[in-house]
Amino acid sequence: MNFLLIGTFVSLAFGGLIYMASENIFLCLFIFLLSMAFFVFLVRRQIDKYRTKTRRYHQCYQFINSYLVSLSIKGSMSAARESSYNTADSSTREIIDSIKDFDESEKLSYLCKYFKFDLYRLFLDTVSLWNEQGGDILSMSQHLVNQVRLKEEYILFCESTNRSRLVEFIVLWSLTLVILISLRFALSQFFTHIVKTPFYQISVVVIFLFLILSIYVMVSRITNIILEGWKDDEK
Amino acid sequence: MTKNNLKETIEFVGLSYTKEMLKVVSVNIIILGLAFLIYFLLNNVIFAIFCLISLFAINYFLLGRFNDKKKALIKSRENELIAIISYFEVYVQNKNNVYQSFNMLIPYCSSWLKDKIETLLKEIDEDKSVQPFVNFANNFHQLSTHSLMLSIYQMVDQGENTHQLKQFDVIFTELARNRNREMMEQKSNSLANMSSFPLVGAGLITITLTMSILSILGDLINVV
Repeated sequence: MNFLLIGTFVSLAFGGLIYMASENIFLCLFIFLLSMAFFVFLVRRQIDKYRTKTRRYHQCYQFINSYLVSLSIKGSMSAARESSYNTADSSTREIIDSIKDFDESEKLSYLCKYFKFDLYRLFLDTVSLWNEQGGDILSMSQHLVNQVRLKEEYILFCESTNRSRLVEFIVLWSLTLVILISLRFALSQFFTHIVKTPFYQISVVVIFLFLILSIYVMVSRITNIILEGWKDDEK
Repeated sequence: MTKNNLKETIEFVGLSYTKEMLKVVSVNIIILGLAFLIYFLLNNVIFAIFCLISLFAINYFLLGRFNDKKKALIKSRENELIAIISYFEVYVQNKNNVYQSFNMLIPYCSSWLKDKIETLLKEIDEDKSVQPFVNFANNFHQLSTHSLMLSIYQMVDQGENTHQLKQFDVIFTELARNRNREMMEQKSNSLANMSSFPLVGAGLITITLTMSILSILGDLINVV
């Protein structure tokens, strides 16, 4: 789903909620603009980087596995590359298509720029060794495949934990904000007096700033995933 | 924490003790100054006391963060070692000897680990005993690192035969599995803590409404 759309929707919701809670159009505009800037400039960038990193690892995992299995069966690097090309996703295919003129070893080395993981470099070393000395590629790469699989399991675990915890976080915050709004209607007589006090107005802003801070912490923790070799400024 | 311990911790995480202490003292002076101003100029005792209580909390945070950083650094070094040893296993399995395999690990290492591996290789050149491996293991706090390094030494001493490789593999597999489990637990715990934020938010709402209602009631009583 388009992240910009979600960000706009959430910012509008925050703006609407703070207006209902404070009846102050300036606070509403302030929180709306702040949330928009927060989602567009901070959250979107972080989520995009995280998605690129995990997607690239999944592609790398698929490529290494498919390449090694094909290499052990067909015994040729070009056949293995062809076979892993057929099982690869469109973006990996695009990269491989752009280096058609390279020889097999150069193609694998070039992919190092795309799969910037230590495990891919280790895969390259293993394939080069097989190319120079021969041998059984499956037993040569047994430990490598184990490591690649362990990492994939870790990422899948992180993705499923992220999803369940994010739902929990959204539900809890929604309930909290519902309390704020429902009390506004429940305390209808008091509310007309309360809403005029500066203490209440400042407190409502503090609550929304705290909400935005908690989203930032949540996003940072969700996107914090360890993949050796990959740097966060990679594209 | 004693002064020496604190100094040791700050230097361990790569920071300057003098600079860090200067920061802590500056923060203390600013907050104490603020408390004096609030007390003597605004005559507000409650906010002055609030400033002093905050000062304790800020000092606790400022001085405690070095220990947290130290723990995180130790953990990340141990994690890096396990990752690096998994690459070592691939190289040894592919008929490289222990010395060559360690050498091939250098491009994957952080500068700290690179330095330690280079020292290990230098020591192996001069001393063929187990000592270089023990010295290397001493850089890590995890006990299993010692068994891992001893099993690597046995490979050097008794040749990289199948039995030695298997022994090394058993120790390493256990370590790698533990590390993976720890990483998953760490992820799960860090996200589980996030549910406390909405609870704090609910607390803030309750405090806001209670204080607001009480102040309105106070005004009403004063009018009556």
